[in-house]
Amino acid sequence: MDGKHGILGNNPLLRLGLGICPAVAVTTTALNGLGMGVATAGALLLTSFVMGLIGGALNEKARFAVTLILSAAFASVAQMVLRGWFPALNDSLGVFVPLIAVSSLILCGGSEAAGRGFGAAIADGLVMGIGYAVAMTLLGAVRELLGRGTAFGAAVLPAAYEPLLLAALPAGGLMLLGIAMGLYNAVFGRGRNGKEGA
Amino acid sequence: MSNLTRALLFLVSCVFTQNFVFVRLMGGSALLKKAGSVATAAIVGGYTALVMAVSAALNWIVYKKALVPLGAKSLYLVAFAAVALLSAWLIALALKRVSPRVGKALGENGAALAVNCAVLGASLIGMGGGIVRAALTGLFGGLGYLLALVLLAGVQERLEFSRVPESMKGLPISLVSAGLIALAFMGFIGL
Amino acid sequence: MKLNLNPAPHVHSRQDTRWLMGNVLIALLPCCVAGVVYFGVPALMLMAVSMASAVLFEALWQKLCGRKLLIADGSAAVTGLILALNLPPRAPWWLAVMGSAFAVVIVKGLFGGLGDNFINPAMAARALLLASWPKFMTAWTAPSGLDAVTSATPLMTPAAWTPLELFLGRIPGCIGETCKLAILAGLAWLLITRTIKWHIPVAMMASLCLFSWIFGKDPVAAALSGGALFGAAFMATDYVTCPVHPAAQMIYAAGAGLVAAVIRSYAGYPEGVTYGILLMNAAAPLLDKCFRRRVYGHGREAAK
Repeated sequence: MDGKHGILGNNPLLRLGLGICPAVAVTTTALNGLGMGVATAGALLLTSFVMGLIGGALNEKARFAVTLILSAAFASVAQMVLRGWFPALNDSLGVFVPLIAVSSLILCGGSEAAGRGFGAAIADGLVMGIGYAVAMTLLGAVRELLGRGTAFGAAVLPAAYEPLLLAALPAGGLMLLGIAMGLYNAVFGRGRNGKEGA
Repeated sequence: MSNLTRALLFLVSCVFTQNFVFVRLMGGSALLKKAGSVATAAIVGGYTALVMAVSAALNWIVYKKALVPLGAKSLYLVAFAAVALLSAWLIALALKRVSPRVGKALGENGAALAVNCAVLGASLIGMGGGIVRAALTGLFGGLGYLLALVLLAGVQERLEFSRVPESMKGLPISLVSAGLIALAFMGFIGL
Repeated sequence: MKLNLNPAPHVHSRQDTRWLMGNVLIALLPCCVAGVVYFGVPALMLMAVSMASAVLFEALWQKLCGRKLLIADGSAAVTGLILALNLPPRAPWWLAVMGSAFAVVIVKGLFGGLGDNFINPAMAARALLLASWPKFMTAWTAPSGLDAVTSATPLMTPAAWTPLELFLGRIPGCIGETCKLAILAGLAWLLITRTIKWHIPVAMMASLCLFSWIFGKDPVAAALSGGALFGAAFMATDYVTCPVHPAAQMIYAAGAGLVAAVIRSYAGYPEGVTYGILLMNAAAPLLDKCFRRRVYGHGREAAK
């Protein structure tokens, strides 16, 4: 990996399509997007931290397996934190909290962290995590605004606005993420998003 | 209602009303994989369906017969992930033995690609009932995943001849296509 | 005017788009007339707004993409008109604008324009509107007066109308779908001018009737209510989104009829024709693939 991940350039969600399952499923509101983004970023950071420490000693197949186990462990931690301190958010994210365990963002990011320097692994994890969380929050905000006429729960559009309900539904989420990626590519240019996630 | 009728209704529900890719949104991986051809998509989808069924059943056993009696419920995610990876790996090995063509379609790290939202999601959702229901959730959900993968591969093959704007090529237009198919699947709401 | 269309497998090279769209517009004329007669001036306004906005969005999109302006080919106008004919007569004007924008820009434009979309734009737009603003999309009015009286469509209360009433179309429903006489006239025009062939409409209606009968409904009423005939004549037959080979077309149409019957009988939405066509649109590339080897190089000649 070349360490070119960024918050704006080469955004892990909008350019690489990492972690798209929750990006479509739970981003019906800005708060959900933010919560999911931060939870995933936290698990990614911890996974990168450990993989940066021990990853160098593992071969490629073992790296994937260890990353997966670490990711599952930190997803469990994320679930406990959400359940204990943010029960309402935990309920609205639902089954997608445990599914952080198989987020392709963490599986790719963690595997890449192995074998790089410890500092580089942390920095990369941090940048990828923040980039992902920012993209998730933005997508959630757009879908909430279109689908409900609110921003973080506060009504911001005039009462006459008839919400575009589809924006908050699965079909609308898939289309809006696709369009967001297209816009992102148009604005930031693209080097073909030829990267495969898991 | 006989068991057969119930199973059939459950099949329709898993494949259409609650499709893993278009309704539950646990199949993002189906979009990412550049399946290449409809045939490859069918092989990868069928393999994923098998992994979903086997790991859902095994995880049910692990959870109900080991983790709960041992009081180790909080380890469930780690256990599920390990079981899913193991079954994906074993099934890939077995399939490669049976047919070299399948092995080629799955590629070198087919097992790694199979541990995704759909597989773990099937295990989590299947936890609500008995073991048969868990296995069927995996299998039927997997058939829905297979259907989605094949439909998307057909559309993608068609898009090769299209004048899709440069910035929309690849994943973005796949997502929009999936969204439009999801719109069509909305007709099954309430079935 | 000769269009420079890319060689997508679904676009007929020898017929030019303008001739084709002109024929479809002529065929839609009886439905428009019936819609205005039954539902009055608001229906006419909706058609105008929908067509104008579809053409406008098409022009804007082509400008944005730096392409040649091709709105004179009439395809955007046809999309807008078909969408309007699929709206309830008292739908607010902005519904038509939103639907047209979605149809022209997202369903068609993002995929490259005419001939590149894999799903019928007007149908997808109708599904979008139904999912997003259900209260406006299901506000039916009786055709008699100009005032909006909410009433049930024949799909909800099938026994309230005789087959003749259903056939002539003095019933609540979408603007263009109620008068079966007008639709048949349009269909006849399309068949006589060889714009379309008989396979898709016939297979779709036959399948819908058969499965409605199996599910315990009156097949005649099933054929004459809702948007079945309109969909079979004008939307399932869209060149761009239907398969090429006649056998594949029959399977495609039969599938659309089956899905429509299933949704009408068992699912939450009262009308399933939209979803039947959309789903089979999505399956059309696969169906074509099953038959492609045999028809390669023949399909286009046969369709002429």
